Amino acid sequence: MNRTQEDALIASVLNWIREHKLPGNHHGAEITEDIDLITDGLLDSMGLVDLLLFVEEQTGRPIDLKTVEPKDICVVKNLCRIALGNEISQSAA
Amino acid sequence: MRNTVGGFLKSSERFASRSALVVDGETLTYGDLRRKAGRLASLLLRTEAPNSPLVAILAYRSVTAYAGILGILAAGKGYVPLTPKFPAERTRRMMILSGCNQVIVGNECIPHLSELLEGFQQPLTVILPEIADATDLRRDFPIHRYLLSKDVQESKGSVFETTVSTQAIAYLLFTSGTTGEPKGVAVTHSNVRAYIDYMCSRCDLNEADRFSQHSDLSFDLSVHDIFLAWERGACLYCLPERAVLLPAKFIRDNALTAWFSVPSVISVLTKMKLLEPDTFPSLRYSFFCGEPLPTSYAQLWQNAGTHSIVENLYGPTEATIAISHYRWDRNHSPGECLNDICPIGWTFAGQRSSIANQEFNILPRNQAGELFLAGSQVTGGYWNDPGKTGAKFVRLGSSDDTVWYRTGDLVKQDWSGCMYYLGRIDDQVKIRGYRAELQEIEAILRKACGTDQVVSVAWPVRDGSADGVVAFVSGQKALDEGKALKYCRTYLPGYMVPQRIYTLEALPLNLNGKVDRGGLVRLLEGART
Repeated sequence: MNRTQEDALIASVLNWIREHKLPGNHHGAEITEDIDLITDGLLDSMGLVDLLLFVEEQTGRPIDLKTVEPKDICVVKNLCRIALGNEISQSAA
Repeated sequence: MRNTVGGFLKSSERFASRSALVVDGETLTYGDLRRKAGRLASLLLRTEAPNSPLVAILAYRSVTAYAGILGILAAGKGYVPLTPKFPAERTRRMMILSGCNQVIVGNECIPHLSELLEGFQQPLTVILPEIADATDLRRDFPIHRYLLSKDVQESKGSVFETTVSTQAIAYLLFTSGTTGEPKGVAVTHSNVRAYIDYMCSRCDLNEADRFSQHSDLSFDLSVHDIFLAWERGACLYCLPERAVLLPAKFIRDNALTAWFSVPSVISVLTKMKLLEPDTFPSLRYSFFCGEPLPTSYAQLWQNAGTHSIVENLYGPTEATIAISHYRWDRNHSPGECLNDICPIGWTFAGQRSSIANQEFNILPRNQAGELFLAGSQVTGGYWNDPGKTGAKFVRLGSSDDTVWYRTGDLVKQDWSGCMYYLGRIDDQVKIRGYRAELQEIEAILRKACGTDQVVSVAWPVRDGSADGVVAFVSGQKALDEGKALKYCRTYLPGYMVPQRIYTLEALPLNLNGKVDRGGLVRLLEGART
């Protein structure tokens, strides 16, 4: 796995959340790659959809949601890993 | 009157070793669940305060949530579902309004309980079935009595009240109120039985079925899932919080046979390309309720659940879950939709509907008007609020003494009796299926923004359903939006908190001098393009 690629994706996802989906009472500094976006109330269902579409746009590859556990895509770090993992495994195939 | 838990009790006798509930990684048989509920019921009755017909339950997608509801009903009490997803201030208000002095709390809600007890002056009995030590709670909130796991385990006997009085309350649900305070809808066992009996009579559900439990307990779609499943001896599958957002994998992994949710779920799954043909081969029944069902969504779901009967249900909380239905037919239904929205169909057999004008005169067929409802599913009014009850539960001009609930929904009925939802006649909106009064949001906004010149609109609206709310204020140039939103979050559930608060020089007015909400929506549309 390309660590630089993963870090860059995490950074752009965190920026996207801060710019587009941050509720009024959250400070940008509170958002980290380990936070659970759903249980911590940062995103609702449509917000998560928008985020997934953003990540797919960034990687140029769809995330296979038929096999991924929803809990794994609610944490930015895991989401980015899955998004890039899909890309690596598919191109390797 | 037969208690709502009567169906569960019978099923627990017939199918003691069959699975009744899958939740939070655990599977409980009917026997397991009955034992847990019976102990809780016995403890509730031993520790009850006089004249207290209701018990609150603060638990979220856990064993305690379901055992607690069953235990409360088994004790002959009604349950008041509280959710950790609401701000503590709102939950505290619900507790006070309901008059509950007993509350069952799940382990997952302990942090929320501390917030709730902060400033709560009335002594409560707090039952914590999974907690062995409450030293911290006793130290911080000493006026309350705490009963722990040991007390539940040692609770003697297994009470199950099989009959209740005709007017006994099964549950009290709070909905958005126009005055800035939530209002309680008291639903009786008699109301619930009418719904369950009717659904059982027309749906071939049995002990082999696997029901979804998608909605929060504070939303009455959950009552359908829980009590219809247990009435038939079926198993209830509670979706984990994260699976609620994208439930496709959960449906497939657990081979669910009966699904019930708001139509917004279809929107999310469609956007993520998860609704391909035959995605859900196990589904036999799919029910949608809570907001308009677009034609395209019904078609997509029908294709995904090829073997499923798809039904659009309609009904306000005041009429107990749903009171009319429309069964989707892949050949004929697209031609029967109006404005690309699925009809709300026909009133349940035994229930009544009328369409009337603002003077309460019944209108002829094919003429649009407000929908009024009556029958055994229609509740008696709002909890301890004769004023609001009198305004919404009325008599119609030319009818007998029947009390009708005025829904506020604009509806048309064709010559066959099929009804079509056309919109609202007031400022109530549905946000992803949740009912919200714009007036309640504005009452909080006025305090949050320090001005009376506030207005809120549902936005964005996709496929007939709102995703959220946006607010506008004027007369407050130096508004701190973040601070105002933080205030809103203290009092309003997340779905009612505005996504943004925009400051305008002046609010636009229409020809009647009222705030032009349509103009504000056009402003938002313009900004998007």
